[in-house]
Amino acid sequence: MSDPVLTNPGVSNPLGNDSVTSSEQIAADATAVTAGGSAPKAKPALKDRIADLQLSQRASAVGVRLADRMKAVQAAAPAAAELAGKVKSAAGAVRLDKLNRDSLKAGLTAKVESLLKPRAVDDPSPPMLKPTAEARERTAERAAPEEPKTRGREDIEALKARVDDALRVKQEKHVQGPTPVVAAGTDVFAYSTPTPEAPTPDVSAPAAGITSRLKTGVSRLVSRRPAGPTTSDTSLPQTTELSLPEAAGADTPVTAPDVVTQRTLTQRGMTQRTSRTAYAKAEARRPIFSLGLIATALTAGGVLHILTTFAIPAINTGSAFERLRWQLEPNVMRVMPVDANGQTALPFLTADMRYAMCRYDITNSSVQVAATLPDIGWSLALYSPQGDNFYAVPGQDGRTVTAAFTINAAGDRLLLPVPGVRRTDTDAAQVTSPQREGLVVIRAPNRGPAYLPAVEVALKGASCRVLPRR
Amino acid sequence: MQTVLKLLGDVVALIVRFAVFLGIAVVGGIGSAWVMIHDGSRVSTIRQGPWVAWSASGKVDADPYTRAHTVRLGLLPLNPSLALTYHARADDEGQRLHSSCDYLVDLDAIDAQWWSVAAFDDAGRSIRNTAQRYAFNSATTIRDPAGKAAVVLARDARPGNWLPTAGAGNVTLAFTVQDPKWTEQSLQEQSKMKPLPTIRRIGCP
Repeated sequence: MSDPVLTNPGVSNPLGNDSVTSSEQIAADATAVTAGGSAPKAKPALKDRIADLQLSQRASAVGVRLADRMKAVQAAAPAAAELAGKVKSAAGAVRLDKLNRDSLKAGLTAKVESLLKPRAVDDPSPPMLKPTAEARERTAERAAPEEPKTRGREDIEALKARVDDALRVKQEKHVQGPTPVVAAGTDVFAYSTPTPEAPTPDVSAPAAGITSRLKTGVSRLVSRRPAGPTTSDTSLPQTTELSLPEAAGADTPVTAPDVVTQRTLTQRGMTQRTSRTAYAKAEARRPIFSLGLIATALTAGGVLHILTTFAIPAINTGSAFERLRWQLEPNVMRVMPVDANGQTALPFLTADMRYAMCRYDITNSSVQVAATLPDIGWSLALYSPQGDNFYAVPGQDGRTVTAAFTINAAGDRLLLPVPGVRRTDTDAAQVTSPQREGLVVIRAPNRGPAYLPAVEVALKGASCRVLPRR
Repeated sequence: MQTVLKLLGDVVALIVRFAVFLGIAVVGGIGSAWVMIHDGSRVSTIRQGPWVAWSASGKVDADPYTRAHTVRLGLLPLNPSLALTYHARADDEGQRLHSSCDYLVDLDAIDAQWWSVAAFDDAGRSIRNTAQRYAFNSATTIRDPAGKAAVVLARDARPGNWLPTAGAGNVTLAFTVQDPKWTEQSLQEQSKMKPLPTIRRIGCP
């Protein structure tokens, strides 16, 4: 039995496929149809089978294209990962302030990883090639087609309609010209026909998308802008600034890995150069004498100022009391000798005066002081070790002043009724000393050599003695 | 190489910053304290012409600068309610007192009960001289027929009240007044301060 389809010149193979396997399968299907049904029904069955063959062939072609794309994407993945690592190192090299650096690094790293994982490695299918739900349903129908024997009349009619539609479309395309084999931008699984205006997809589209996103991150890192929402493909104009081959107008086709590699190298160099420049600018802008440094130094200076001011009286090594400590026995009045060169025991003590001094110590007992101040200019003064003059008796003009008092420690007045303590029950006035030690200084003006013996007698008459205990 | 240069630059910058910090802290802190303690300020001193007196010197409740000044120099000042001591390191024109020049200290306007004028070198020591003249006070000063009193500071002998200054270098004059009324009036109101001796440069032969 001759094949009615193959011998019929009005019925042509739409795809022009003359493979033996397909012819034999069609013949076998025709025999099966003829054997299972009436002869007039063989022609629709054959058309149905032809449509199925066309579909399967187109599906296989799409599968080949998809495999090629997966290979390209997988080949681009290592380069993209390398670029991500270099971007990370570049981010570490860029010495920005800590907040911007951390935020930029974190944002960029997360962005790169999110771009790499689902698109390039885990999910090789680019989003534009993802089948719709309807397409998946139809693919499933083709993957497991029902046997013609089991189909009902409705199914046969539906298949017939689909074959007719396909034939009509093919005839139209044949009239218009050669049809692109695969239109990646269209839903081929849904039998949608690509329009003439539809752009021809580039095989390197997934890698280019990843690269463009990496470029976006790098450009942000370089420009020190904080991480913000990704603009994905809208950042492509930035890639033209990176002097890439295709951006420069080169006509040579560039495969996806090459694109990634060249962009990686170019961006790395630019990143390093830009980071160095930014660091140099930041260093140049950083003032040596910052306000914080000056403020801190001023604060430290203030602290030093206060410490110095209070430390000098506390250390007390150069005070008059310390200078006279080893020249004076405790609780003994001493008339200071006259230096032939006019030198005195202390600075700025006028040499036209004679001095009698006593270093009192009331640690164990009170000290009784008595002196006569015969004239004006004479004085008797009590000093603390820090030089505080806490008590003074001046001489009066034209009359003699007798100064007699007891130096007590603070709080001794409360011990008056207690026997065995230091005596305070004297007729002399009592002067409370702020400290256990101090100085008694009697000044006697030198009115001339003729008056000097009288002055010395008056000074030697002054006393400074410990008051015996009761 | 670039890293080494950068590290070197950082070290230099750190040293400069540390030097600036030390300069401001030490010079600004200790230096200002030294000025406040040595020379005084309006807070702790009263000034009239070239004369400076520590208004709280010798008082128990003296300010920290006055206490530090007293301790550092080893002074034993009388309480300012009893006596007040002024120091002058310059003449009336502001020129530093020096032993190479002659000065006239006019004491005519002083109306205190007891006063004293003494010349010291820069360290507060009496100026050595063979005449054993170290100071004049209200009892030892010779007055002229008109009753005016003046002291001459000069290297060579001068008639009248002469204080030898030869070999002293910088000279400091101390003027002490022991008169409670006088000191009280000088301490209370600036406008009512008692007149102090004038220091006029005679010449520098």
